[in-house]
Amino acid sequence: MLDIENLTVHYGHSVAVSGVSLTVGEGELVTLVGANGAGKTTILRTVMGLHRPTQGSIRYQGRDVAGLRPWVRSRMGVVMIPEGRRIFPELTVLENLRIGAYARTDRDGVAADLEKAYAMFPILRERAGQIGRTLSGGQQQMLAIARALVARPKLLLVDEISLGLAPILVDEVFRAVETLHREGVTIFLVEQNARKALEIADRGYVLSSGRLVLEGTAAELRANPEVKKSYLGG
Amino acid sequence: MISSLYLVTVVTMTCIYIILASGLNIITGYAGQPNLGHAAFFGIGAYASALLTTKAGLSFWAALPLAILITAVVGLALGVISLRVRDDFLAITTIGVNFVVVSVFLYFTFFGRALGLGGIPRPTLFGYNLQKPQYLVLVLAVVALVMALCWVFSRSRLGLMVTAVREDEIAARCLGLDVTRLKIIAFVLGTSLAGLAGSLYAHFMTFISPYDFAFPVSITIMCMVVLGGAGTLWGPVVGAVVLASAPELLRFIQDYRMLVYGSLLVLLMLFQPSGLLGMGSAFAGRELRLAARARGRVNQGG
Repeated sequence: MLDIENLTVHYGHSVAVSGVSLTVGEGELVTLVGANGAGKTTILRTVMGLHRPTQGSIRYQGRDVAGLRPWVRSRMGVVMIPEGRRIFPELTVLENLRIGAYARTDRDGVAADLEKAYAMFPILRERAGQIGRTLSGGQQQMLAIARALVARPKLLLVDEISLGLAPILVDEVFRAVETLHREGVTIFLVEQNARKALEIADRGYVLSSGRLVLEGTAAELRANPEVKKSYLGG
Repeated sequence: MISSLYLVTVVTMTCIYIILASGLNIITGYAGQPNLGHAAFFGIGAYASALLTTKAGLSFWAALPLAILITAVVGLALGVISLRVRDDFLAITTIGVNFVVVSVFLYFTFFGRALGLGGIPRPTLFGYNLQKPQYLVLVLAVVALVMALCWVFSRSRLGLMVTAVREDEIAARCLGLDVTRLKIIAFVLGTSLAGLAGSLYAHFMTFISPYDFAFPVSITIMCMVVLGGAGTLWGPVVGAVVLASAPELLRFIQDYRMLVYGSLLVLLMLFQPSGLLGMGSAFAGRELRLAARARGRVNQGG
């Protein structure tokens, strides 16, 4: 579904990502793990269209999307949960969700997905009329996930979903990602928490200083001594 | 008689400022794009309407919509150019736009140069020439229409999407909103209202000159929006009423007028930075409650 080939991205003159090739197959949950500053987020943002690649190709459903603007990619089914939650703070929970469903014209489908989002995170139904800013950090992350859900993505890009959350909430948001995956959404998950990410992923890539250093099934990576030492805490 | 005519003038000008501030509120309040050149579009509307009536011989009723259209087209062109940059860069760009537009009025004979344009006719209705008091009734009706429009906008899907762009551009892009297009739509809507205000102003004053639309006027409009509460429906109205009438009400202190006026602005921004009707204001209770109730309805509607 997503094929990245020889991708290089610069920030000004410095190289953030260098010669990365990876694929995410239809229905897969693929994770990209690595240390802070390795270039994970840059890859994800380039797939969404927030950054221009200097080199390489990004193919989505067989079509080169590297030159397309984010909203065009979104129309094709690419939706991203950005790092740091980034909900719309002065808007209500429901308004946040309505913005997620912005591009959709199937009213019934939206209503059904809204129900699905509320079923996944019942607290959001209770807080539907509340201003986003007043939610706790964990609730904001749930809202960010729900907002992406109602956009009904085909390919969901997830950036550092566990960052800054209490352990119990980390479990909850990962469960939500797993649920979406089980329902057939293809997911590309960027995560510093390699342990958690490799628990739910089908396959994984390890990125270090802008280059891919390892790839394999999640089980392989979990068993890899190198990964264990550097990313899973021994 | 003189004093009542004076009152009519103050109220009419206040109404024109309400339209200007409400237009700027769409751009800066809802869409979050700083525009410090709003007076330029006020001027374009005024000059367009003045030229269409005095040189092209159109009636006010034909010139008014054309002036709005012309301002909208210029707003679209300048919006497409200016909105490539954001935040402080956009603020500076729009200041530049204001200076350029005023310079064009000043240096081309077609626009009357420093002498301005005179002899702009008052509208006629059913064969009657509208004098200042009757004209005020017309202006009040337009203000009511503009506020209805702003109300619809603030409750609409478009209004919600535009607000999302203000709140978080990156998040909006991640969800597939065409951020650039939404900004341009807001810019064109806001500048169209400035064009409307310009036309009303030209036919009220019957004489216009470039400095009526200079940079300080943009600042005044921005102050009205910020003082009243940017991004609220009634904030700009309150801001316009307070700031347009304050210099008149403070006339009794004569030379100290601008000193007191300026100090009031400073104090307000220190203690109520989100504006009179903004978040956390003692006056905001009603507005926010109303907003919450309206949202509750939307929520139930699912």
